[in-house]
Parts: sequence; C-alpha cells; structure tokens
Amino acid sequence: MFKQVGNWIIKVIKETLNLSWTLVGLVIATLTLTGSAQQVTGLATLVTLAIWLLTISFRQGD
Amino acid sequence: MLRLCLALFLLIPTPVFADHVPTQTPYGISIACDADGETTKGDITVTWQESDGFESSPPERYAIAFSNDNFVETNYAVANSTGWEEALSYKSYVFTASYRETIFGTTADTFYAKVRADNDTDASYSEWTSIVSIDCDYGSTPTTTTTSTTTTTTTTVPPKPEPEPEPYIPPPPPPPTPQEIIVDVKVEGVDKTYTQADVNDGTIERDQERVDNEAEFGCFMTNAQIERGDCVIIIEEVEVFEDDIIKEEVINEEIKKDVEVIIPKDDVDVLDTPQEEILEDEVVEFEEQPIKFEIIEFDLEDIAPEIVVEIPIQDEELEEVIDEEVKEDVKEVLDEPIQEVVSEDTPTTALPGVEEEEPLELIEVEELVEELVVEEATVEEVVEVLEQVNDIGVQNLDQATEEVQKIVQAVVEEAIADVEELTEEQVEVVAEIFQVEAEDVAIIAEAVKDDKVIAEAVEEYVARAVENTDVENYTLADVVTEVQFENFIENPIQTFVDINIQEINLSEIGDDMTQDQREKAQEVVVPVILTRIVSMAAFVFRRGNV
Repeated sequence: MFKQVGNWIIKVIKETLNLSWTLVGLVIATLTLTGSAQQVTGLATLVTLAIWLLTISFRQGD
Repeated sequence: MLRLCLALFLLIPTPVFADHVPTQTPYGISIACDADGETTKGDITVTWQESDGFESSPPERYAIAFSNDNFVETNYAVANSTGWEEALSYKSYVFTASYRETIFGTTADTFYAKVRADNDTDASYSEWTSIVSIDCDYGSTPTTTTTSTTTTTTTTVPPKPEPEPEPYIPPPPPPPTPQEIIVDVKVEGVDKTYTQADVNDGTIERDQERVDNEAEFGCFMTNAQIERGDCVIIIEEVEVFEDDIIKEEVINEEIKKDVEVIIPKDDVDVLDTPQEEILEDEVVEFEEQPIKFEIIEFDLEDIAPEIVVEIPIQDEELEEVIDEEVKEDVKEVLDEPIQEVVSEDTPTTALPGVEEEEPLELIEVEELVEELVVEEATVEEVVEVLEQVNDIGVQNLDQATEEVQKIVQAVVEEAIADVEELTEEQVEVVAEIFQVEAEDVAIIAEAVKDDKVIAEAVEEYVARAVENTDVENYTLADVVTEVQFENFIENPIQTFVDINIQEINLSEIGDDMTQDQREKAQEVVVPVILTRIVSMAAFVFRRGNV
C-alpha cells in the first residue's frame, strides 16, 4: 500500500516536472490577468492539473 | 514529416485578404447603345455593379462622368439619386441622344464614361472605374411639324361617298426629356453639370460649400461637416502680453541699476555689455514667442543669484576683471543669502546649480502641489494638477521631491475616487495619467472597490512609475502585474486558492479588465498556448518516428 502511494507520488512529481514550462506560462498568464478572468484561469489551471495527475494510471494504463 | 508540416501549417495564421476600404469602387462597368427602340434609339446606357457592401462608408450616390474625347478636354458629370441598395446588384444611367446633342452638339463622337461611388456624409469617395466607350451615332428623333392647306373646289361630279374618317392615332409620347442642365461649374478643375434634381436636393450648394471650405480651411467638406468637427482647423491665437513685456523691461532696468551700482566705473563696459545683450535678446525672443513668456519670466527671477554664482567659472578675462575690489563691492551691496552663495561657491568650480536645474513643467507641478490641500481640493484643482503632471509625464516625476510625488499620488487616488463627478475631458486626463483608454478609467474605479490588488496598484502607481523611469510604455497594467507577482511570491497558494466561484459570471469574463490589461495578458497567454502546441507537435512527431 505504502509502496503504491510512494510510486504514485513519484509519478506525480515526474508528470508535474514534465509540465514545468506549461505551468510557468499559465502562472504568468494568471498573474497578468485581473478580475474574473484571473480567477477562471487560476481555477482552470488547478482543476486541469489535478485531473491530469489523478489520471496518470488511466492514461499510462496500456 | 507530413505531420510536422501539418502542425506548422496550423500554427501559421492565414491572413485574411479583405478588400476593406471606406467606399468601394463600383464593379464591372459596361456601356450599351440602343439601336432599335423607336423612342429610345440612340440612348446610351451605362451600367455598373454595386459593391459587396463590406465598406464603412457605403455610396450615397454614384457620379457618372462622361466625355466625347476620352476626358482630354471635355469632362462632364451627372449623379444618380440613389445610393447603395443591394450587394452586387446592377445600377444604370441613361444618356439620351438628345441629351448628348445638347451637351456635345452632335452624337457622332465616341461616348466615354466612368463611374465613382460617393459618400458625402463621410466625405468618402471611391476611385473612378475604368473608362468605357461606345460609338452610337443615331442622333435624336427630329420633331416634325405638319402644315395642311384646304382648298375649295366646285365640281359637277356627283359626290362620292365620304370616306370613313381615319381612326385617331395619338402621337407617340415624346422621348424622355433629359434632366434640365442648370449649372456648369468647375469643381476641382472638373466641369460638373448639375440637374434639376441636384438643385432640389441641395447638391450644388453642398459642392459649393466644399469648394469654399477647401479654399478657406483646406478641407473638401460641407459646412455641416466642418461644424461637426470633421476638419481639424488650426486657428492661430495671437495673444499680446503687453503688461508682461513692460514688467519685463522694468525688471531689466532694475537689474541694470543694481549692476551699475555694484561694479566700478572702469569695469562697466566689460560686465554690462554681455548682460544687456542677454537681456535684450530674451526680451526680443519673448515678443516673438509670447507663449514662452512664463518660462523666461521665471528665469529672470533667478538671474540675480545665478549671475553672482557664475562669476567664478567665467572665462579668464572675466576672472581678471573681478578683482578684490569688485568682490568687496558685491559683498557690500548684495543681500545676505546671495553673499552666502558667493562665499561658498567661490573656492570651488563645481556648480551643482546648473546640473540640478529642474524642468519648468516640473516646477509648475511643484507650485500647484504646494498650494493644494488634497482633502479639500475640488475636482477642477485635482484635474489641473493631473494635467500638469501629464505635461511632464508621470515617470519624469523622479526629479521631483518625494513629498511632491506623494501628493501627486494622493491626487491620482482622489481622481479615481471621484471619477463619477468628472466630465469626459477630465476622465481623459486621468486616463492619460494611467496611460489607458478613457473607457478604462471607470473600470479601474470599479475594480478598486473590490480588488485589493488593483487598489494597491493604484496606490503605488506614481511611486512605481517613478522607479521605472527608463521603462517605455509603463502603465497601470504593469503595476498590477508587479503587485500580483509580489503577492504570489509571498504566498503562492493563496493566489490560486483565493477564488470566489459565486462571483464568476462566464458571460462577463474579461469585462472587468481594462483594455490595456487585456493587451498585456494577450502578449503572454498567446505565446504560452502556441508554445504548448509546438511542444505537443514535437512530441507526436518523435513518437511517430520511433
């Protein structure tokens, strides 16, 4: 169980590192925007990142 | 390779080659001669196609120019009464044979024509179409008059039965009379022929107004357009500041008197001459350019201390002239503050006064700010300060004292707080301070109430603008981004977590952003998306080759 969680965390870190440049761009975009546009961009970034990381096994299942 | 080419093809935006002009030139002009019609024989019909309608100033009428020598010497024009009605539909104008005879005296010549689309309201006129021509020498139908004579004869022949009277045949309707030519005027070197319709709808008057206004103001526009402000008219205002000139001369004389008292008789020539020349030159310059008078007047107020201060750094000749006796005289005559300046500056040649001279606009700002109590300031006073700040530029306030900067900052905040009381012109002044569009000022004022980041950005705008003097096009959007970045560094999580989903209205996303902020964001977001697409394409390409 712990080993599985540990492996998943390692995968999450790997995937997040793979997305580094994209995340940098989205963070800059979020900081450049104001008002509701900023909130939507920030929220969309977080939600998409979460979905992306939670579906690692699903996407790499083959 | 094919995939890579496809990805590159999708990445490169296809430009839209739109032919979008204020008023499009009519399409497909043609010309035809009627050789058959009983009443229309000899009529020439010029036909053209209307535009596709993608134009900001659609035609209000069409001008049809015609000539019998390919517009070498003769150049007439008529205008139809209808403008643009339907995209790509056809319009035509008929020149009857009799009309051509009236104009040219004959129908034997080749008839040339071309068409132009006009929008008088916007003073927008298309190019002329290509010239079409036709030979149509049928002449006009001559009108015949019949005379009958009756003779009485007496015969013995029995009378024949009277023939039945021929049925009455009404005469054919006369050919449509050409529109009556009223005036033949030269406009822009071109003869223009006007019709009764032109007289009725005021075309002649408008054209005459255009000619007059072009001669007077350099704008080929009607009086209505001039009054509407379509023509930028520069009116030179000559203001005479006679009182100020007199005051100036009085000041000069006072200074001369002082100098004469100060300097020994032997040295009058040496010191007086250059000073008089300078003063005279300044007065002359002032008379020629009275607008600059305030600037010169300010300099004159400071002449006395500057003269004394500059004595040590004059040429060697001047230093020789100013011997010990002169210095003593100066000390005796000059008042206390100036003596201190002389005694302090004389030992050294470093004169920081010249280097630290402030721009005159900045001095005006400082004078205004010193008299201003921000809390009690009226809207007009606030806007006056902002106008002066605009003259010098917010980023150039770095030469002002910190106190002045703070007061200007307070004035800016006051203007944003009272934005509802401002007139359109005053809002534009505030917009210029933030270097945003006038419409954005209201958005900023609204955002300040709810958004802490923007409120902080407005509070720190002047200070940050001064810090970024060297940055070109530094606007409020830059300050907002800086503040957000600092907040992100302080607390990265909160920036993304501090979201109020209930306040998000998907249909109004971006409406609470200024145009300037949108443009700045666009400069960032679009490259991010493109970079992501390229990286994905590269990834797909690599996998395809494995």
